[in-house]
Amino acid sequence: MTDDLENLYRTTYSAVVRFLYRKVWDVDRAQDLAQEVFVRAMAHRPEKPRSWVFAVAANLARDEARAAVRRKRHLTLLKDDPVSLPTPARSPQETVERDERLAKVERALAALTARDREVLLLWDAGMSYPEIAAQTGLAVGAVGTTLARARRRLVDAYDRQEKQEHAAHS
Amino acid sequence: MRHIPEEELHANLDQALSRSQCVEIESHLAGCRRCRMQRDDIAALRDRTTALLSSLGPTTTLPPPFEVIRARHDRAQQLRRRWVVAGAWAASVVLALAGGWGVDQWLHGSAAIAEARTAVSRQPGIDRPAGVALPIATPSGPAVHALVHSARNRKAMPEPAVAWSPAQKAASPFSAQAPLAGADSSRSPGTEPLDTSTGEQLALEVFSLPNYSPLSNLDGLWRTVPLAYGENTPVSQVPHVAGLPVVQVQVQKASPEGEITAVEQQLATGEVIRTIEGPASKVSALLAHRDEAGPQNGADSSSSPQKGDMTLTVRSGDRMLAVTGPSTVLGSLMSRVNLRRRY
Repeated sequence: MTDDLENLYRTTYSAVVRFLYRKVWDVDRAQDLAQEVFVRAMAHRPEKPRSWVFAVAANLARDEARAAVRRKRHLTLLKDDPVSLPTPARSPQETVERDERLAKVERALAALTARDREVLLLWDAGMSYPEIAAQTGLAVGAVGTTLARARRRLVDAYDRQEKQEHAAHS
Repeated sequence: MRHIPEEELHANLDQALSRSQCVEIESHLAGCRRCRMQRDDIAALRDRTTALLSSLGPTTTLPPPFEVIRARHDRAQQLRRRWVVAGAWAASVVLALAGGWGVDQWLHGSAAIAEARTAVSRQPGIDRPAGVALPIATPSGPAVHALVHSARNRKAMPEPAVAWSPAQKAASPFSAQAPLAGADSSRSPGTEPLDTSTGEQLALEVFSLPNYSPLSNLDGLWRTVPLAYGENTPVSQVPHVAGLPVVQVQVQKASPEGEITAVEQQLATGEVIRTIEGPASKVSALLAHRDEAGPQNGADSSSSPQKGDMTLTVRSGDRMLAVTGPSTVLGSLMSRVNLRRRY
């Protein structure tokens, strides 16, 4: 059992961190919460640990968001991830461009409805349609529809910003 | 021929369809250019979404060793256990206090309090106040420490032989002494029926209290009141830990909010538990000040707060009740809780 959990930890930790990061926008916090998720999994010994882990991660992220609102802390996009694998050195110009692009993606993601965003992030974290359905309460058949809409809206929202930027520059 | 809806193409690319559905879609795509183009668009959209999202997050994050999780889990469990124990302990103390209070109210009327070690016996059929005593383990054996409540008719009751005034206190608070009798005996020498008129029979045994030295380390002007605290405020209505002999009741006028009472009660071991009740701000200020004052305050070293003193407070509205005592004594309850959990 512990071995199962340990394996799950090795294979999904990174995905859980990524999933959480897109909700809390803080690498350290995301990692801390991800560890908390697995700590709880150790205590609960869930039957379906994989979906359980993401469900708990989603709940923790929600609590975190509420706490953040209470603290009136502004969410800031972290510039770089200190713990992740070394990223190639960038020139200041490149860094600025990269940050702008990240901010655009973040805004595009924020433009989605909560449900669309959740489904998209769960899919991106590697969950299957039935797992996403179980967690969000959607019918399995509706996951594809939601995902289709979410993908289109994300890309549209991103492209719209690009266009606005071009219009502003020209 | 039906074209393939968008969401099914998504699901197909996401490998979320059954084998038969896949076969159906593939065979349709083979013969339908329009759906093939749409499939390619969706594949491109899907790839872009993935690319956009992956640019967001931290890149691959190496998980810390699993031992980190295991250690965190162990720590969380320990913390949880501690909370459970502390919660159970606090609950039982509150219960004991509330019980004591309640029984005092129930026994209403004037009360005499034996400030010495006493044993109470009652006629069968009359319930003894149950569960009101802090179940404190005393090394001196199973002697019963009890508060003696008088019957409802005060007139019929002789003045308690052991009641003492501040003047008496200056000399020896426990001049009335009786030989140590067996705790189970209700009819031992020194037993004196207090009241027979109400059908209740109370027996009072008086013992000497060793090691008692009055505490005098509370700030401010205090008035030590006789144990039978006047007509209007019987001691039974002053908060205290039921089941322990009261050694001193002090009152401080705390302007408009009312007065603060401090009741001291002693265990067989000589240790003193003090219950302070009054306006919350006054009580907490008192406690804070006492802690600062430290052991150098007061001439009598044994009267100073010990290092191991512990304070438990219960707040209700703007009133506060604080019980202070040596942590070893208050803690004995906690160890019982522990014991129960262990087995």
